[in-house]
Amino acid sequence: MKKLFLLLALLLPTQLSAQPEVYLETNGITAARGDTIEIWANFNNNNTQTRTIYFDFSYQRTAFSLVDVSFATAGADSSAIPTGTTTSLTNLNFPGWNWVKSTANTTTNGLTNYQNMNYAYTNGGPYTIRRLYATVSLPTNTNLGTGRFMKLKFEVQNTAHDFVYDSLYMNFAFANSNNAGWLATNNAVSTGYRSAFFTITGGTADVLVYGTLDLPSNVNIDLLQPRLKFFEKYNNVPDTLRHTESVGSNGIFSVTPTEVDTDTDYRIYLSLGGASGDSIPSILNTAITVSDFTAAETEFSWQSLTTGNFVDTMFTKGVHYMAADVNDSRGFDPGDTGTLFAQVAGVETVEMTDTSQMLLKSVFDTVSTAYWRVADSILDTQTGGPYGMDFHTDTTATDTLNLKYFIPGDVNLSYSSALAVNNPGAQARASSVLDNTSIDVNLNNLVVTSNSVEIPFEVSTGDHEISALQFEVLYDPSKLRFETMDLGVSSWVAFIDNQEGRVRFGAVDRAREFAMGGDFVPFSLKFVTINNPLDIVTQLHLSSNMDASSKSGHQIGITLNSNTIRLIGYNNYANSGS
Amino acid sequence: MQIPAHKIKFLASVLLILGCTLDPTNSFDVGTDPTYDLGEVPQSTKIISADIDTLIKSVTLNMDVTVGAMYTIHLMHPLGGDPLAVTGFTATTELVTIELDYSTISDGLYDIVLIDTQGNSTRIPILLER
Repeated sequence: MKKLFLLLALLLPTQLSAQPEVYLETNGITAARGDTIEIWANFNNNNTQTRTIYFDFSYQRTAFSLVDVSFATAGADSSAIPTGTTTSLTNLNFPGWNWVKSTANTTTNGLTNYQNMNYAYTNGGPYTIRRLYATVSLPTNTNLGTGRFMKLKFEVQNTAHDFVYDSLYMNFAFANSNNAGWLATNNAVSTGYRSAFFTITGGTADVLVYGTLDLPSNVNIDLLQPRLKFFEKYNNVPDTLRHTESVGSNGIFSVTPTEVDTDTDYRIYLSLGGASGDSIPSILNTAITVSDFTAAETEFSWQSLTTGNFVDTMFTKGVHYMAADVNDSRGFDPGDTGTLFAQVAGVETVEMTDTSQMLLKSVFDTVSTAYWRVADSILDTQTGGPYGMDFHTDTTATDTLNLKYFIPGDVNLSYSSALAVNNPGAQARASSVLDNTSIDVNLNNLVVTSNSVEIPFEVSTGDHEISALQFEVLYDPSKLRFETMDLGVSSWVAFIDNQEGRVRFGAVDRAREFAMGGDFVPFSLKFVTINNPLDIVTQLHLSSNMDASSKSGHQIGITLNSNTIRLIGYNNYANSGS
Repeated sequence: MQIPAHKIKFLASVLLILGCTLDPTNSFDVGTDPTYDLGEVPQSTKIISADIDTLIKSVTLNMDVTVGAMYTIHLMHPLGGDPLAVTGFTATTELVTIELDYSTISDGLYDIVLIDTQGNSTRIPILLER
């Protein structure tokens, strides 16, 4: 009997904490253009009284059309739905929206992901969010079982041969029971998958040129818009633009015989920022941040007083110097550091042309600090000018082009191709999730009680000392107007770049004497509400365009407690008589 | 091409002026207006259950909250945006029941979001269909 009690005692907590589970049956399907794809969302009831399951999916609407959603046959062997069940479905589509992933909303608990949902909208964007609210009405004393629950049927669109496909993502799925409300719900914990990748066949053609452009993991492909321009050569001179090939988010490109001719000489250039270069200012703002400046200035200030040679402490490879040479003088000089700071401060813009700095991977990774300024050392390997690529097409893709690039001024290569060796300073771009060397930044929500709203940025550096910081805050200009910024690091030189709905700001210890450590508030942003502050409901978002630099000039990470600041007017809390 | 010295000097001057014009101290205190009492600091912000009368689009919301703390309930579109309906209250008991009249809201799927004065929130989906 004692053993029985012990057994019950061990089992009881398990039953109380039982969670249902939702999962995709497969994570990979191969189909051809025009085919339909079926994917099952399955359910493990796990002793709950689930009556509703709420799904959120995202996928490329430009590649797949959701043509049908249906429930598993009630009572079938493979079905989680018992005989006698009636079902209903609410199906909502949000074109142009996509799920913004964070640590908080990519857990294996669907309810947690829902509570921390975050979306971004792009007008005409390629993704869509599909919300499915599935309800079952079960016979008395019956519950759902384990097995197939709902089938999603997609039709593959007739995309271009080099279209880059993305997965179907189940962002969350969670259950509602008739005795316990909304339940913590496992999403593919013990079985199945949370995403499914579709491999699309057909529509391909013979490929003449195939290759990769090495893209950083944090790349915003809609911002970078990398395109390879194929100029046909005449008398060894690139003469006619024959074809422009977009590079996908995975960096892969391929060109067919309908796009370029066989047995012909071409020179290839890389173009970034869109056909008219509209995104170039945003690329520069994203790529060039305070730690690029501090790294460059540190390297410059450490040069030998006797020989003038650089000591290659921050810049360990030639490509670092190439990126730092923003005035294209084939040297690293005060003009470069001055222009870098001007770019960071928003006073002046680094020059970036339609022909971007593209190199063969082998050159990019190996050009030395001694010979980076000697064009011949590059041209021995890469013909076509410093940033061009000569290529002779065969009848098939016999050669693969492995290419890399850098943004001028992005000396730590945070938004450029990664080196095969370590980058100078910290290797990763600042973001809310970083490894061992980082500082904490705390942001607090506010109840608004006056038309002046102050947002303090509370920084904790721990054992580190920092010499530069920058952030970018996005706000709704129909509700808030940016007024000013209070600077809590008075010995630093500050900069503010305020545009409609976006304020980019920061400060740098240019004197290199006033590095800060511990807990302090370097910045407080002040906004004014446009309308009655007591009624306001709005959010400020921190973009990923943030950066911090250590006292030594190295880039370090930033850990945010939240990237959203919620502002809610007092009247929203006042008793409303409901 | 190098930047001419006069340009660097001009640039430095601009940045110096910019740095000097930023007030290193708080220019004025915009602290909370004392006439607005934000109540107790919330310790609990939970939705326990929601009962829907689909006929009249009325939602009875049961919540676990902190006595004396202020809360606001927002009815939202599924992906966010401005609230479609707002209801505020100050908790007088730990278990609060509030009836929400959404009779003027169009049929559809929404979120009900409970938010406290610290900005903590919890949400549930709600299907309003006659």
